Amino acid sequence: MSTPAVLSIKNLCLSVGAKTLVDGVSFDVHAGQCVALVGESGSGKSLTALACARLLPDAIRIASGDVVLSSATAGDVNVFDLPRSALASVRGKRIGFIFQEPSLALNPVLTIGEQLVEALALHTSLSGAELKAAAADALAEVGILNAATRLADYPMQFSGGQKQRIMIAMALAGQPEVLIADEPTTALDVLVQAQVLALLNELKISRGMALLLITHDLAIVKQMADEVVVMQAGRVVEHTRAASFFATPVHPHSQALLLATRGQVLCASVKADAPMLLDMQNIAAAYTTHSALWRKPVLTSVLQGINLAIAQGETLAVVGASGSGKTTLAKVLLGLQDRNMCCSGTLSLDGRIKVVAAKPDNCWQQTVSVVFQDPFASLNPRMRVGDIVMEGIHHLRPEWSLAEANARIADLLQAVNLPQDSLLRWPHEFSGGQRQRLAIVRALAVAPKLVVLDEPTSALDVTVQARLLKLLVSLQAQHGFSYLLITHNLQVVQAMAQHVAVLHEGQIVEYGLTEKVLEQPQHGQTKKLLAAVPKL
Amino acid sequence: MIKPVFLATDLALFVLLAALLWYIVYVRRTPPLAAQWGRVFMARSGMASAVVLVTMLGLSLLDSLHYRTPLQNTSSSAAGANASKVQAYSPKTTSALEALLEHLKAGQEKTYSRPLTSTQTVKETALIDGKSLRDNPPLKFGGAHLRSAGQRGEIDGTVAWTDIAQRSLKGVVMGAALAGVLVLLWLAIIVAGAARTLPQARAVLAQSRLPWMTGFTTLTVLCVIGSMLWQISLGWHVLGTDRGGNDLLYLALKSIRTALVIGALSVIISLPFALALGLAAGTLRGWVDTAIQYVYTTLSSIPGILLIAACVLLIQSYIDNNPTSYPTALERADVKMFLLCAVLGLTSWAGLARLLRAEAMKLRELDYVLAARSFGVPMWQIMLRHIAPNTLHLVILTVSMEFSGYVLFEAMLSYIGIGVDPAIHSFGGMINGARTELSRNPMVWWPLLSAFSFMLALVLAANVFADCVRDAFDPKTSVGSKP
Repeated sequence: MSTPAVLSIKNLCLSVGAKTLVDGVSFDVHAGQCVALVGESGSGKSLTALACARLLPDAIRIASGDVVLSSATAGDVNVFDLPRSALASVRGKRIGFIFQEPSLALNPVLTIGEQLVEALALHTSLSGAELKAAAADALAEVGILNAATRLADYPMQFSGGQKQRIMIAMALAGQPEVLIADEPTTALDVLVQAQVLALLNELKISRGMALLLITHDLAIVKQMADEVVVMQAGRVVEHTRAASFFATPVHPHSQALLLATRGQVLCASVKADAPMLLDMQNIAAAYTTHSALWRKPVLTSVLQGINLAIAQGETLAVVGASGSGKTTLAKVLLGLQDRNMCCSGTLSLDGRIKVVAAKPDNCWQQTVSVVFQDPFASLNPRMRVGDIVMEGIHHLRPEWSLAEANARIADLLQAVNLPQDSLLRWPHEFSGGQRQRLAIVRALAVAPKLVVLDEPTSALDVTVQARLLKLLVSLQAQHGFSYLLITHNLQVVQAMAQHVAVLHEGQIVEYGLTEKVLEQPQHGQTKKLLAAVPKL
Repeated sequence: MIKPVFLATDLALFVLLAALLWYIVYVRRTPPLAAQWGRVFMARSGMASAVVLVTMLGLSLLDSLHYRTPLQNTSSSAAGANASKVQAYSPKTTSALEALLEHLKAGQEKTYSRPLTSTQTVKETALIDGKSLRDNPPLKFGGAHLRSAGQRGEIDGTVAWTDIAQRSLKGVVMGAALAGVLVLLWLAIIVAGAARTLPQARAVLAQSRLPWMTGFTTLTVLCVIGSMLWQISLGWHVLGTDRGGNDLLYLALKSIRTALVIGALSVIISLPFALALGLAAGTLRGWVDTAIQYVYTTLSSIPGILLIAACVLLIQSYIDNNPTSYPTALERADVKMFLLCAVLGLTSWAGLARLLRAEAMKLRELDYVLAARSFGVPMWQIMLRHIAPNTLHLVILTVSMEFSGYVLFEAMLSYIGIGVDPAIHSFGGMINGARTELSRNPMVWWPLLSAFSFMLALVLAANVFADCVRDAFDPKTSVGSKP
């Protein structure tokens, strides 16, 4: 290695009770280099990072190991040997942290300036006007425009991406030698993600800082990392240069991760003669806000002039940045739009025509079902799985006999590879991927013709994600229903959808066959979106 | 034959007990809930306070078995044949606990006496052998068994303390024996079916993660203290007597039921309002929400004490105008207490309703509620099936925390004179009396101390238990455990 190791983790073991969570992890992070810590959820990557600054939850015990911070000027320090009082001088001063959710990490009642000055005052000898100037410089360095005037603003006046930049500025206030970024872009939109990653890369080079990047997204790793450490079940299974990791992964787990991340086309090609199932005509939606009691309500447009169609047995993907109206479109289709939303347009589904603003009847609800993003929020923790999957049948298919309903559920459970005794169990007994399968069983139980998939895989690990996509496609081939897929993940689009529509500020800016749109984007917004997505 | 009497609060207490038992069965059948409750009892403090609370509950249940004893037919021949057919009952209602503590009730003195003394605190003039003598007269009950006929004055210290020590020792031995029996019974219930031999039983205990030893220790301590007090009380006033000469141990034991009834009943009465209105407001939104919010905002802007005072006085005048509806004084007082609980409950649901409304508003945006809505499940069913069960932790938290608040509140209400009827013994009444007692010379401190120590035991146990419940049910504090 050309540069000295700034952070070395040696044989780190963490445990809770008798259970070992992190088992003998060792690796070094060098100045001016980015090490990516990769693994599925529960593999111990975040715990390893937190242990570097002894920020672990109380229940977790450091069983053995050392974390050594070395520097030419300040000497070597073993973090685990320090007394509690001396930790403050390490945190922020020598190790900086940024976390996943920037809106939770900033105090909403203090201005950005006050928070930045606080961080700077702790770690530098500046005072008064100098501090303010330094804060403005720090903001400017992370690319906030008009930094000096924006110091007086509150966190809510910044966007998510800007907040993450401010977090980075605060983490860098003490000029740390190491910056640990724990899933820094997972909560951000793809466009913003690209900007934040570019900023981190730039800082790494300009400051010669070591960067420990924790992520589950191998595409980001490819873009950012010099070295890759792959963790599985608390152990390091592969540690190598990034180039060789992507060219020739050695460990089977690394191979599986890479395979799952590489996009592949799973779905069948377009059938020319498939009849239309859904036709949306001129859909518009707007939020009404009452500024005062007797004033006329103000309309904020969310969707305008949407015309889309889905053929039977086909998948249409709707992609777009966050705030482009994707989820609203799904809700309008399901008839679940918020009370204060004003909608217009007509939908025609399977030969039935419905005005958007009208309440959906039973027939409509039978035909469309939905699978949500977060498998932990989509199953009621206080109901048995059997009751959860039966609820839809209860309300929408009362004519089915109990035996008929049970047979259908049993078939579906088999199709999604879950044991039949799942029905008597509780949601908490299942993993994220299994819960998402249960949500699919619930959606399909009422025999719908159209299933709305709202980011169905974005909360899951890559390997689980790949299996779930295969399952969704094979179910579609078997039962012949259509999907409306809402996502920002272009690999998922490529894998599942025949057609794709790009949504931007409530309007469709591009629509076409998936391969055509992804390979030869026409509209500027599509190009921007495609450019921002990190690729393998 | 005795005639059982069911007072309003007795029925309420038994209904509550039934509901509690039903809830225990429900929890045992719902693994996620069972795991959470398991965490409550896994804490040593949770186990210990639960044992104390169950003991208090047992005492107050004993005190809730009310009956009237039949009167001996004294007017045998004169009344004729008709009278003998109609059995007359004593106008006084007694309870099982009172029957157990009969000796304390019977040993009523004239007025104040210090704990464990044999003479009255207040001097009186007596005619002895034709001479008038002013001294502290001997007690009728306290230490009377050591007194020879005609002996006046304090009993010799060594004799008295030897007697008390003997009684304590007997109490300790009996208490330990009782604790042993109870622990064995308890063990039999825990390991029943799972184990046949002692090593097997030991293995079952070792496997269970509950701190049984803490439970057994608490139970033993309670048994020993209880039986010591009981043994001493057979010959002495352990905590002294109050102004009317009543034994203070007896009063304090009777007050436990009052405190428990007030605490539990007020909470339970406030629950349906808080649950129905809070959840409806949060789930249904729109005009329902607006209407409910106006109701509870109005309610919480009226000073609570004034509202309660007004209601209590209304009830008082109603009862005074309809004296025939309630045959005994106790029944009258009991109805008053029941209505007091109702008033307390009715005026204090706003806090929990507000909390539940906020939680329901959060939950109704969750995906599982959206999924149910996409299936066309009506909103009221969503409220019952998806939202209400997921707010249960808030309800349990609030109930366990407000309980002790109400017990203390009763003491305050009695202090300002709008609490329970003087016919019902309560901590508030005892504390109210202390207002004048503390300024007497010599100072009469023991009634306040008795009320204080018993109330402290109850409220502290309730608060410690509530803390454990919060630790187990509050998602914010259970970070260290399972996600």
